[in-house]
Amino acid sequence: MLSELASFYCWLIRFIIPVAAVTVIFLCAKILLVNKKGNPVLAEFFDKSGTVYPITSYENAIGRGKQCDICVPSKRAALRAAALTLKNDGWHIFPVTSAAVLVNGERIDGDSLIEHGDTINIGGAELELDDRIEPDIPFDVTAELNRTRAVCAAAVLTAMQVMMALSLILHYAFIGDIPLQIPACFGGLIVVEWVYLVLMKFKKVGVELLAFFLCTFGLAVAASAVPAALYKQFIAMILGLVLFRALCLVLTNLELTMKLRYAVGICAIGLLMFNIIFGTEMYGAKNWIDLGPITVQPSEFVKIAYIFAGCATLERLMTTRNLILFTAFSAGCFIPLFLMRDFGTASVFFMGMLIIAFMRSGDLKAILLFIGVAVVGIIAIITLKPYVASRFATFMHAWDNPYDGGYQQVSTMIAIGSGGLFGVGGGKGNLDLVAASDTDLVFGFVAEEWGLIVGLACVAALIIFALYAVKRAALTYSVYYSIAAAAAAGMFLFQAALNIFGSTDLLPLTGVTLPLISNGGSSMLASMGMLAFIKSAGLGGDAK
Amino acid sequence: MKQMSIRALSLIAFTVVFVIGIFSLTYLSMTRGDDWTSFPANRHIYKDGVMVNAGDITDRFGTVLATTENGQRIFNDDYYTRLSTLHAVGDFNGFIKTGLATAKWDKLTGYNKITGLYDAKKGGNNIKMTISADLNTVALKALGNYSGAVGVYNYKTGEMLCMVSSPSYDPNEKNEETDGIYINRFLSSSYPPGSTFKVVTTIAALETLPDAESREYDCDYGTYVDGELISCMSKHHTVNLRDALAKSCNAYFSQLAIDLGADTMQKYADKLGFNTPAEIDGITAKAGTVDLDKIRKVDLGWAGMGQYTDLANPLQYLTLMGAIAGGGKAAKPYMIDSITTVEGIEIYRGGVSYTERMFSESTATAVHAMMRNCVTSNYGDYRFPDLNVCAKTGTAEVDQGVTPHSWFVGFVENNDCPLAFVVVAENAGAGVGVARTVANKVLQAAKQIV
Ligand SMILES: [Zn+2]
Repeated sequence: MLSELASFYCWLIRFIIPVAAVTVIFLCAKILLVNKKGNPVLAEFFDKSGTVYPITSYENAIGRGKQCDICVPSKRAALRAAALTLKNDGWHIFPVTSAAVLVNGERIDGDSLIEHGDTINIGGAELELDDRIEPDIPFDVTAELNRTRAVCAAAVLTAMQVMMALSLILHYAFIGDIPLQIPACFGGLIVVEWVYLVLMKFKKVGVELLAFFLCTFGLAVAASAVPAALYKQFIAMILGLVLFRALCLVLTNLELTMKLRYAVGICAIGLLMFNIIFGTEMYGAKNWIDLGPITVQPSEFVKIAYIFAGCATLERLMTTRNLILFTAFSAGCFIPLFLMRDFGTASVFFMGMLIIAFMRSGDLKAILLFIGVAVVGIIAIITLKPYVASRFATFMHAWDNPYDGGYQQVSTMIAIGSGGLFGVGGGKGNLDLVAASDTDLVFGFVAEEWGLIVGLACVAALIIFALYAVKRAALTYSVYYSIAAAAAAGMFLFQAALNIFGSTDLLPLTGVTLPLISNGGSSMLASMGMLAFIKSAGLGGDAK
Repeated sequence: MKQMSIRALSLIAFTVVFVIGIFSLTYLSMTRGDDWTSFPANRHIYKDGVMVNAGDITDRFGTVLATTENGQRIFNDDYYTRLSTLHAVGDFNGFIKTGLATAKWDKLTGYNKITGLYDAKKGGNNIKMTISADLNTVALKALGNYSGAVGVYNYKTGEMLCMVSSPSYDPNEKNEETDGIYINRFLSSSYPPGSTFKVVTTIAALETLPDAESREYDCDYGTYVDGELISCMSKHHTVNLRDALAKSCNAYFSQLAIDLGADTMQKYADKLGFNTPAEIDGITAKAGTVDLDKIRKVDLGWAGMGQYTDLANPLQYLTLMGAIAGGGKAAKPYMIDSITTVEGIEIYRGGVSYTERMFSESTATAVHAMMRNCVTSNYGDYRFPDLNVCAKTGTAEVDQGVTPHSWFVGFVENNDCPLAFVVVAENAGAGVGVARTVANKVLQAAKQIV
């Protein structure tokens, strides 16, 4: 009787969990993508005719061009004449061309503080600054609505987590002992999640909700594949959340962020160098460092450092027009990764580089040049080092070598097919018998046990991150956040593409993790860190 | 700041590419998911390459032909039952593609694209077939050492009662001889039809020529077409359609085919099922072929009596016999009686369905009578006691110096015993020999179980 009830439960929740997953995704999409509110006005310029030029960002381009945030009405002004930035002590103006910028009638040749009542003259247009306006916080109807949505999403998510944990426990109860890790870690995740959300007052928590959603499947995969490693994964999540909050705090302080950039950049390259010298080879790539009880993958953390150091503010964008330093920094990251034969991570970095370079320069030619160099590089490597290409020999031919070279891909496809839309149930999959199933093949793992709908919901979460970064690109307080969010979301998405399509033979299998889901401490921690950049896209509007 | 919204479109571009990839993957998993799932490395259903998580296959009387016990897949205890039902049931290594074990693996395991293999854990579904294992054994024994195929079905209900392919092998033994044994000759072979094709030419004539039944041609040990001889076994003098069919006069049918013309012959061959693969329970058979495109006159003569490049498939022929017996359209043969879950819930039941009309009822009546006449006037009605058989023989020439294939196709004219049959024995000589004998043995046994 009890076992019949249990199997009925397991049968039933197969259909409830996808509904819950889709509901959470839907609510988070609404929270992150649907509110249409613009930014409040921080200060304003006005000219003699009484025309008002509102300033809504911390960073503003001033000039004649239509793309400028403050469009001056003078045919003689440069297309982009100056950058206006809010710093701790007030508004600063910075001429970015050789054309004259006058403050109170005097020409400035560098960064100058301007105060209330000062006038600036750009190409003959005179504007007076008023930074003592009543803070115009528009009444935000969506804020309250979004908090309700967040509470709903959290409730549905928790229900889903409880259902999943129970079905995993029942699975283990049937075959023997119940690993205590399962109730402990799922319970722990639920507690941490609610404590966090309550502390944040459920305000602007869409990004975190999606992260908790993805982490849930990470735990479910670990619970099925290696229950013994569950505590490790859970601790990595907690540490990841701490790293996330810490990075969020640093990022909120843009001046501190700017000061730390160079140090972080040097650390990143240093860490990779250290990795080359003292690294250990695992799974065909020398990208691990053995620290006794644990092994870490420095390249995962370097992703965070890469974005942190690679992004720039508007002022810098407008003054340094070339990408030489950034390109050199990127090369400093690629070369060690290639030497470690971690081609998957190297290509994820390359994607990040393309996005950052384009967001910084808007120069399509430079991007095409980068891609061209990469193609030539790949051809050179394949010609000079044929063994590199041989690692990807089964690409597109997995079914011709199903028991050797294509075994992982074939097993993943078998898993996806066996799971159908609703999955065979937590713990009941067979993919765990295949190497790297909980990391490189994790999409197949989720699809087999929880169904393709749930697998696609996880993918949707990553897509929402990217759409959020795009939607917020022009609304953040600083270009730095726009670039960082786009780069982080793009790298997530690219990594997901390599992971999902690699394991299903639509791309070469490079062995990268699926962000926030794959089992593994380094990946989890680093992914949570990357999330801080996506979160920073929300800095703007009512952030202050 | 503003320009960032335009530059961020680069990320949108990549997102679009990614979403296209995800759609492709979803599409692939929906269209090819069954191939992926049925791969023998799938531990949900296979053990050492043998599909073990599958339901029972039983015959029409409930005789278990294949089942799983203690995680092992096993066949029926009886040696001849194993051999005679092998091609219908299939092997468990997937060599016999049209066998139920392979072709209906999804039904047996309970797989479908929506719920995946969730139901496989319970042991899948059981399939009950319409064939009789005992009747199959009679047919296989009757074929003896000849390769070939036997099919018998109820032309009123569509149930297949017998489907045998020879040579067969014992799936419990490791067999060395693999040449052609994995082919179900009833479904996956096509043979030169020989004189059985004269039925097709007869139907084409009855459908298109108002004077078909009274039309006469001369036969002097055959006839000359453009200086080439199409030969006959004897001198049939001047014959009409009815006698020509009974005596299987080559001269008559080659001249008739030439007068009908290649277009008409092609049209009726297509209508009667050639050039389209027949299907049984969704399992595709090999198509029979008739290709009269740009044909020489003399070759059209040969084609009209079942030689040239003509090839017929036994299942397609069985359906044609069903159409003649059924007045111009056939009850489609089927062999899956029902599928039930392990809990006993019936999820599928086979039933009668009909083909398109192939020819008119009057044509059917006329051909029916002529085929009855073949038996009474030529093959010997006494050889088929209590049966009223209507039939046509075929002696299909293959290569020079090789004994021809022996065909016997037809049906039983009896409302209480509505059986249609096809027998083909490879290299067994004249149709009035081996195939006729096999047909009688199988029909006598089949009569007991209808
Ligand atoms: Zn003749």
